Formats: sequence, structure tokens, C-alpha cells
Amino acid sequence: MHIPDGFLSAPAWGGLWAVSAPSVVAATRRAQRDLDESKVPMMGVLGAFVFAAQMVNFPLGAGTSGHLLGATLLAAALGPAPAIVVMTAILSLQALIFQDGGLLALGANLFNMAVAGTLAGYWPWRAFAGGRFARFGLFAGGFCSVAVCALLCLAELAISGVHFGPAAMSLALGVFLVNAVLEGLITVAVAASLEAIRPGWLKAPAGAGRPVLWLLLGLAAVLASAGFFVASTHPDGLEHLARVTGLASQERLFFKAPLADYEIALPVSVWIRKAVAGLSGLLLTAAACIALARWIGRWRSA
Amino acid sequence: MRDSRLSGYRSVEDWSRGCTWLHRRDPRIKLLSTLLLLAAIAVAPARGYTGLALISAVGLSILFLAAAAAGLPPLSILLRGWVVLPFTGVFALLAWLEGNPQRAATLLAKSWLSAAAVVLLMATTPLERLLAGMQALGIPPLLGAVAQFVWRYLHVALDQLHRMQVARLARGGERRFAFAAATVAVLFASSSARAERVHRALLARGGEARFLLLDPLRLKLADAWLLAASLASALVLAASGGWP
Repeated sequence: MHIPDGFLSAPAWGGLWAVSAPSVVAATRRAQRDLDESKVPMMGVLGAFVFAAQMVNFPLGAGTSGHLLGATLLAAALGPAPAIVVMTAILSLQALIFQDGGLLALGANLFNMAVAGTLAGYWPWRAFAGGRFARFGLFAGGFCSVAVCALLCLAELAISGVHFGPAAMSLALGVFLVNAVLEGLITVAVAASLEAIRPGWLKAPAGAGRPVLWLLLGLAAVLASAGFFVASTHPDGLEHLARVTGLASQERLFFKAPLADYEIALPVSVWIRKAVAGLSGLLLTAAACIALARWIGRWRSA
Repeated sequence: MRDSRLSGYRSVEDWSRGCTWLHRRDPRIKLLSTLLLLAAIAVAPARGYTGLALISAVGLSILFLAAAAAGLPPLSILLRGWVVLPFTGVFALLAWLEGNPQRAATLLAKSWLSAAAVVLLMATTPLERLLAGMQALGIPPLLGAVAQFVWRYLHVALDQLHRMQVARLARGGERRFAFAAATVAVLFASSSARAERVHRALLARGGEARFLLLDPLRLKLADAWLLAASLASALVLAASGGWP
């Protein structure tokens, strides 16, 4: 999932640098504020551990093997902000030493894997930490972390004009799904072994235990990435949806009437349709999450 | 089961210890020059196959000349850029199957050139000097310190991993999922204990972690020449695609 240089268009890599650089700086500030000095060697040495652990092959049978990515494990051990800093250091070193991902594309890779991937891995774990379902939280964390990275990576490639046919798309999504499940399984297995060595390595942070809220945040992250992705690959996603759901005949009533004047004055370009589809996808996701949260809240209080 | 990629990097690291004109230049300037070249490769418009061929020819000759000037084997540097092939190849194949062979060629050429430029940077600059340069350029100090620690202790962690895997094989170890998880867990536990020892050792020496260079970074007039030369080559490279 490390994007090399030469794939992303200039607005894509420039824009993603503009997002990820301040995020990493903010994470650094936060990590510095929250941590005492002894944590600097801890962050560095655990970073070396994750780097090395990514090279351990996990046999899956039939001659194939997978490996850990480690963002969830790191976030569970150190907390989210230090984990973002450590993942940033690891990804930068990988780009320099192995050319795993380009230097210009590093902004995009940092956003996908260090920032979004780490947070998406942390929230589900935090939601269930310390409770009976802590292991499920770790699995969900590993899964969400890789799923969010992969969807963002695909979306960025699609925005930059790398086209996927339907067959290639389903293949890529299948591979990423398997990887996400695998990351969840490996994270749980490693955490179980750690508990056997010395309980209490992966401590629940104070104030943890509002599973619903954090789970919804994680879900929102996954759905938002998916929506972003769908919106960018199907520029006329809304029209497609309308056709599929049989709204096409009533389309004029719903979509065209309020915009009729504008349509004559201003031919809607592909870009605007993309933007509208993307934004409405995000809004729909947010609305669905809020509705779900309300419903769950009512259900719990009842 | 030594990681072959890291041992592949060893030769790049050997190259980086040279002392030619290019090796002696300030790492900050070399990083900026590489970024200039990368940006030029990224934005160069490839008009048809001739444009693409021109960009590739200009880019390859810049990298070839720079590598030769630094006393490095130019072909090895350029061939090392092919590490991006697994990723790029898949997408190039997709573009080709979709009936867009020019897009496929552009992806291959641009990602290869970019990777080779980074290899050249790493082959002329020791990593610890490059990290010091990045710290001097103003990345957050905590991030710089963590990156320096990761680079130093990576070798320790990899050595331990290697010893554990050899020990498991010597005991007739099977390849099983649970064993791999246990290996990672033990590595985590001992890395954590190592971090505590490192911290105590730092305290014993009276302070925080500082990563000093034997030869501190200093900008010289020659660095300005390097920057000017790379700016000129970047401009030529960016313009070459639209030539015909």
C-alpha cells in the first residue's frame, strides 16, 4: 500500500502533504505534552520493533504468508499521538531505505497509514479496552486500520486518474479485505501471546469504555473512506444509484427541478458532479451515523 | 532467513561512505536537490511517446552523470530503481489491458526515475547525516529523535529476530501461525525492556538523547553550486517533455 512517485497527480500529493504535515506536527506536540522524557527511547525502540516485526512471515497454509503492519499494536501500547509519530518515522525510513513509497507521495502515505490508519486502529481498541470484548476490539482495530489505509490508497489513485476496470477493482478489494482480516487476526494473536508473557502490556487508557461512541467513530472513518472512494470512481454515483433503485423516472422531480435554471446557465462539469457526489456521500454517512447513535442511545436508556 | 532487502541496502550504505565532491555536500542541499528533481519528474508533461522518451533520456542522463561524478557504478544505481516494479507493474499492466499503453509506459518510466533519484540520494548521503539534515531543516525534534532511534535499534531488533528464528529452526520448529505470533510478542517484550535500559543508560550519562555527527553540518559555497545545478537540471527535465 506504499504509493510510489509517478502515480499521484500534483494536486493529490501536494494536497495530502498539506493535510498530513500539520497532522503529524499536531501529533508530535500532543505526544510531547503527554509523555515524559523516558518515552522517547521507548518510542524509538518500539518503532524498530514494528519495523522488524513487519518482516516476520505468518504462514497461512498453501504456501502463502502474510505479515503484521502494527499500527494498532503500536497505538494500543503507546497511545494514538506517539503511535502516529512512530509510524511517521517508520514510513519515512522505509521510503528512504527501501524506496517503499516515493518521497513526494510520502505525504499521501503518511496520511493513509500513519494518521488515518493509526487512528482507525486505535478507536475500536479503545472502545472495548479493559472489558470482556477487548480481543474483539483489537481485531476490529487491526481490521479498520488496514481497511481505511487501503480504501484511502485506492481513492487517491482513482482521483489521480489511475483507472481500474470492474474486475481489477473487485480483485483489489478482495485482496485488501483478506489483508484487513489478517491484520486483525495477527494483532489478536500477538496480544494474546503478550498477555501470556506478562499481563498488562496493553493497558486501557483512563476514561476508556464508551464503546458505542468510539465504535461509531471508527465505523464513520471506514464508511467515509468508502464513500470518498465510491464517489471518486463513479463520478455520477447519484445517477447510477437513481437508475438502480428505479428512481430514474422521477429523477427530474428530485434532482433536476431545483437546479433547472442553473443547468441552462452553467453546464455541470464532471468535476462539480464529482464534488457533489463526494460531499453528499459524506453527508449521508454522517447522517446515518448520527441516526444510529440516537437510536442506540434511546435503546440503551429504555 | 535474513531479510534480503536490508542486506541489499548494505551496498547502498557502503557507497554512501565515499568522499567525492557530491558525497561531501550538505545533506540538506542534497535532499532539496532530490526533491526538485522528483517534482520535475512528476510535473513533466509527457506529450506522446517522443515526449516520454525525452523525459526518460534527460532524467537518466542526469542521474547517470551524477552517479558517475560521485564515483558510483551508475548502472547499479539505475537498476536499483526497479524495486518499485511490483507495485508499478500491476498498475501498468492494468492500464495496458485497458488499452492505454502510453499511460502504462508513463507510470513505469516516472516511478522508475523517481526511485532511482532517491537511490542516488541514499548512495551519496549516510542516513544519519540525512536525518540530521532533516532535523536542521525543521522537522519536529521529537520526530527526528524517534527516527534516529528507530534506525539505530532496527539492526538490534533484526539481529534478535534472526537469532530467534535460527533457534526455532534448530529445535525443529514448525512454521505455525501461533509460533510467529509468539515470536513477535517476545520481540515486543524484549524491545520494551531494552528501551528501559536505554533510558537508564541515558540518565546515567546525564541527559536526553542527542545524536551528534563527527563532522557537523556546514553550508559552503559549493553547496550553492549543487543547488543551482540541480535547479537547472530540474527545469530542463520539466521542459523536455513538451519539447516537440
